[in-house]
Amino acid sequence: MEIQNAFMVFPWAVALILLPLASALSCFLFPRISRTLGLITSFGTVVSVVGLGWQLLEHGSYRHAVGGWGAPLGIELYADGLSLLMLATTALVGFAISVYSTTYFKPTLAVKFWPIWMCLLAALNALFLSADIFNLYVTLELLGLSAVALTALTGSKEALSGAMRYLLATLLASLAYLLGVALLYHNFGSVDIALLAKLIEASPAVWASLGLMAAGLMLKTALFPLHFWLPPAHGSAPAPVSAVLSALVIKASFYILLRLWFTLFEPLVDSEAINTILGVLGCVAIIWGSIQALRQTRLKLLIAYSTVAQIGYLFLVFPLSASMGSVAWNAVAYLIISHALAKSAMFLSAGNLLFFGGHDRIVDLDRVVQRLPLTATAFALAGVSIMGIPPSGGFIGKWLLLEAAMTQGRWDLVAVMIIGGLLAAAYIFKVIGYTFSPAEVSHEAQSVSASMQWSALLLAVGAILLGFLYVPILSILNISDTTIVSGVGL
Amino acid sequence: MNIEFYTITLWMTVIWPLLLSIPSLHSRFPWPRHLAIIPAVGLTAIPADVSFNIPWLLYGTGFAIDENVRWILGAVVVIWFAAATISSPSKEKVSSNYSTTLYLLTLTGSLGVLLTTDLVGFFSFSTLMGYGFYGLLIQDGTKALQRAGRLYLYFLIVADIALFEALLLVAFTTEHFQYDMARQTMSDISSSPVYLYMVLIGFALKAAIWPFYFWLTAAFNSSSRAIALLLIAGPITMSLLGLLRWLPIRDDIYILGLIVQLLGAAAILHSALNFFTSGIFKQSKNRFNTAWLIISFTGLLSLALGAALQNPTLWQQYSYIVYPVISIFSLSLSLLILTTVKTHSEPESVDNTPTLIINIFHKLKKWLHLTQQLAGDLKLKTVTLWDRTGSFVIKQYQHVSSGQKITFLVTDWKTNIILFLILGLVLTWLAI
Amino acid sequence: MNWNDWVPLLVVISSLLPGLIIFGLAEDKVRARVMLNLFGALAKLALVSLMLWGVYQGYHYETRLPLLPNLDLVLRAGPLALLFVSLSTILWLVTTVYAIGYLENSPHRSRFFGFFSLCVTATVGVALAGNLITFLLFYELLTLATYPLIVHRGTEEARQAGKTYLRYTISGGALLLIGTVWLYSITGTLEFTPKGFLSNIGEQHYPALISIFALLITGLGVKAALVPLHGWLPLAMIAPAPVSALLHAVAVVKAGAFGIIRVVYDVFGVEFSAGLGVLTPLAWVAAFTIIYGSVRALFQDDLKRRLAYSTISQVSYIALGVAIAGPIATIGGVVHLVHQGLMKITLFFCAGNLAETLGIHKISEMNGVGRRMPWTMAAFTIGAFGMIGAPPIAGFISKWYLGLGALNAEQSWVIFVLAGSSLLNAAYFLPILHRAWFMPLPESWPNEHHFGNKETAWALLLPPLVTAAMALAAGLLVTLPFSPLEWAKLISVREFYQP
Repeated sequence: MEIQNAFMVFPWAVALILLPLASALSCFLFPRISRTLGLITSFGTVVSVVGLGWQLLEHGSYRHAVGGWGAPLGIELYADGLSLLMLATTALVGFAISVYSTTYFKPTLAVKFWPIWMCLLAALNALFLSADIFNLYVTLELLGLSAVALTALTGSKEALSGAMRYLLATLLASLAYLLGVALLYHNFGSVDIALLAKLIEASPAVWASLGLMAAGLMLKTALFPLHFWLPPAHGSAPAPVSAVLSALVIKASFYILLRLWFTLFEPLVDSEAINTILGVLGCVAIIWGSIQALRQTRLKLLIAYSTVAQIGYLFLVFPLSASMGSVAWNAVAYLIISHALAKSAMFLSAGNLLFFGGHDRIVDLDRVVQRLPLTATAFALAGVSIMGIPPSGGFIGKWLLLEAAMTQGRWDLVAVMIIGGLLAAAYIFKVIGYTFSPAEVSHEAQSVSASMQWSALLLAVGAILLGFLYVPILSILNISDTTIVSGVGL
Repeated sequence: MNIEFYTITLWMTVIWPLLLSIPSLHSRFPWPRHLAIIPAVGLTAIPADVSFNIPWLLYGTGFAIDENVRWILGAVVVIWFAAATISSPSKEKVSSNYSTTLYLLTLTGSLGVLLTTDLVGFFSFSTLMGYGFYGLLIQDGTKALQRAGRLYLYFLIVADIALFEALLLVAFTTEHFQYDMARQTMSDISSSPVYLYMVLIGFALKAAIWPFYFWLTAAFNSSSRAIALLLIAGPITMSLLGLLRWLPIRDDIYILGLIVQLLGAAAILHSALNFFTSGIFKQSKNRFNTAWLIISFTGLLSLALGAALQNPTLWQQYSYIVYPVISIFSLSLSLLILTTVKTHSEPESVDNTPTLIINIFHKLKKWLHLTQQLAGDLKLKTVTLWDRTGSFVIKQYQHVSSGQKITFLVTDWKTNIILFLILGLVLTWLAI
Repeated sequence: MNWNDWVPLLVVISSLLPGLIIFGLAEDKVRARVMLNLFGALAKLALVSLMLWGVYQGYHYETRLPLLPNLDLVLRAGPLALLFVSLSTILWLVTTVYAIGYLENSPHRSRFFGFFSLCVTATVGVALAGNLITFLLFYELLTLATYPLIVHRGTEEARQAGKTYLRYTISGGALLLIGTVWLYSITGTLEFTPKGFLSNIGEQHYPALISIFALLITGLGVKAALVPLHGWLPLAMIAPAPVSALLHAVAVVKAGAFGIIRVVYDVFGVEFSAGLGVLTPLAWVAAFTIIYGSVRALFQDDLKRRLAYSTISQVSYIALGVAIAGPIATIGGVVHLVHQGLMKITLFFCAGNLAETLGIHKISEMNGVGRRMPWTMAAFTIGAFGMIGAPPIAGFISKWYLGLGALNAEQSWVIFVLAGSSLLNAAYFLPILHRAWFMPLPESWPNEHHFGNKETAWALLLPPLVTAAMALAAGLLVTLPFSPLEWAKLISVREFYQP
């Protein structure tokens, strides 16, 4: 009973941030045990998330003033259903990636990898727990810089050029975001989200701030046409890094956009124009990204473009949230989670294939299904979720979006989603088809370690299992401070 | 005790040949073809009428023997026995096994046809008999027999389709398939007359009633005596029996009776014509005459049938005569065949029987070839269309000297069937 | 927790678990694989028999798992579900035995049998589905599970065939998805109910319902090979013979036809559909497919291709029976589901035997095969005659009821279609039989294997004999209580007569 009480009272949220930070420092100071430290920390994050989840289920949404200093002066941590799910996803994917990275990186790279990776993890956790927009900026910046550093890890020419582009894009975006924050602070005197939400009303300054922040976040999330930095960066980074970038980093900025849109800027967002623009951009992203993915000859680039397409799906929440908004919102939240699992699984399997054959050309995937069955299965299962075919999390998300679109009569969106699904099937099965057939020239094979294969597979299985877990997850999603306003749940 | 014995004999008549037809079984017995008919012989000898119901088979069927059937059974048994005696099994054991199997299957079919009590059972056994007989026909492998077999098959298939539709009509109108009850129901004016047409067409095709006699003459032309005997005891007799059992007697179709009579008269005239132009004393034409004898007999029956269709009371009065008449006729004809010296040598290369009326395109093709030959030497280049399936074939003819190219769509029998179907569909649509 | 609630789920899992384990087995663990396969098949058979007995006693078997708010994953054992499940289970057992014999010494057997088991899992899920979303889930799973079987051999040709297969089936699945979501957004439920659940919908939705019907039928018609959605089927013949047997007799094609039955009877309701006027176009498409498939079959020289086109033609009988919208035609259509499965699988088994034992793939190579492999060709003969509709084999019964149903529903044009189809069937099956039994033997076979003094291996010989015997029995013994026909009558009564 005492232990249970202790478990309940322990500030898991704080642990989620402090643990990785401490670990980053330790990995930097003690490079030789960085692998073990990293692994333990990842596991620790998982435990913390479980603890936090328990707390949320018992008490509802959670607010914690750091150091006892509450808003508007101090930093507050806020966790509700959505945050919990994002944290859980981060923890799971992070754990899998840590397991993967223990054997993936050679020692020279590993000493550089682990500290930065822990930093990134800390930044992600902090981001999902932030309750004010300035804090969000800080964590966003930290996140971006860590991500850039990880991208440039290998030091090759492509990696550096990709990372450079990423750096420029992310800094520009952060700048725009900061400007938006400044505007809001100047006008309303607070940066706390809950407080601002009560104060905000439509005015030119607020419109400008919305525009700036949205633009910055869209650039960070790689929404078409601001996606130009993503393929080179994700394509040339090491596999676990690509996985993190596609699965988590992009989602973080989208998470911020969701939060701000539906809490802060809520009086403004009924405008048809903005919703339509975002919807159109999302549709174009879906179609264009899928077509580009179909045209790729390298596996990692294919997966990167697939990410661009999937982000388009996420942006469909904006046009669909007008009425019956909660369905679309739930759908997108679910899509975020399943995409995170599926995409990371895909990148990890691509990493395995690269490791195995020394290349990732699609047409030369020499009978991989027989020689690396676990990896091929991981890719296939992840692909099932990306395509939106049952049973998978992607299917549930797609179903909900389709339902929302049909009830609102948005047949254009329905058509785009279906075409996107068909195109996704085309490029996924293209790869799978080639895994069955022998290449023209056989390649020498390097053996891939079990931890690498199983981490990819388990992530993919998770994406499939999400197809059956919607109802319990929905109940978690609904834990929140704000009540349902005009059909938009938070 | 007696009744049980009779019942056992009854169904053994049909089951025993069926069992024997399994190759591994009949190779153990000597004289399997004769052995198979023994229960049937026993059945003929039994004095009483026996019947036996099998409600769980198909839609509920049964076997029965009564006076009328006994007449025909007697004739059939004798003919099959004779055929078994004179049929010479071929030298190789394997093919002799197969021909015996076919023989026994056909026997099962014809005995089953004779003894079943309802329409569906009749149809099933007659299918068995029909296809078994087809196998027997082409067993020897000569070209003329193959052609005869093919003709027979075409007629058989069309006849079976017609009879199937007739069955459907019965099922639509009533639930009883026993002969008398079915006939009673279908004779009623309120039921569909299409049944009558279907029955007439179906059995006319099967029994080679004029003008559907082509397969019969072709078969008789080139088959051995045994096959000829089986032809009589099998398809012909059984089909005539079927006609008697299936035919409804309706009051309202006077003109149909007239048409049937006319056809019968034409048959008799045609046979007479052939008889006088062939010359019975010329050895080579002997076989040809026998077929015409059958055709003239069925023509005679058509005359009688037509009269009955016009005047239903005639049917009630005289139908019982037909059974003995049929059996006597078949017996005497078989005797005739048996006593002729076997002259089966080289089969006639050119069959004078006209090609099927429906095969218009064959004629056109021949004409086309003739004209091409007249036009001089032509070089043939075949271009295949629809490469993947190898279906339609376009033949491209190139005149050697002038270099002109002529293209024809050359079809084969499969396409003919399709065109026939299309023609049929168009006609149907026009009719409806 | 009621034990009965888990039986349907167990039926599905009984092939999933062995399949997953088989994936992990090494290539040379033949005995373990065979044991697992047979264990799975027998377990499933036992469970299905339990359900049959239980339903006869009056128990209910239903598994419900939450999937989405207001939509559950439902597995329910009703008469129609049990019909299809029994067929699938029995034929899976037979095909497993056949596949074990056929693929002896072939590469990648673990992978093959793993996906094979997944395929059956999906089929059984399709059969037991209690609402449209469960059906959709397992239907798509079926696509995913059958693709690796088609590309199993790994050749370029196989890959292309797989690509075409996917193009058709994924597109079909997308259409099915749109139809389902649309229907859900209008009605708020997707449970299969006899006579359908749409009778209370207001008239303003009727145009939408017609479009939904078209979408659903098109999506299902891809797998059911309605023309012009049939293009994948002949190409899929590239797969090994057990796959063709299972795909064409049981799994994929039947799942599509079964789906059409479900949509017309348990979603829309037959009378409602007739009122909407959507059944007539379906009847035309089905009739056209019947004729078209048979015509194309005439021109094939490859044996499996000819059988593929024959399948296209025969499965549309089921659609036609459904579209005629009368109780007797229903019986004909539903019972043909079973009969065609039995007959077609016999034919494909025999074709596989010919290929394996003698290297014969084309009909022109089949001269005299009846003397070399008499039992196989005997089974083939029974199957072929059944397809033609000769009594007393099962095909005769289905054609009987279809024709009778057409007469009862006053759609006599169907009789002509059926007659034409019988004619065409005879035209393309009888030449095969003629060649096999009556032509002289060639000097040598393309690629002969000897099996002692038997004509072929036991595992290859028994399955076609068993299924041929079942086809014969299904025709001869129609009036017995557990025959497919009596079952179909039960289903028809539920749909038309019970309130």
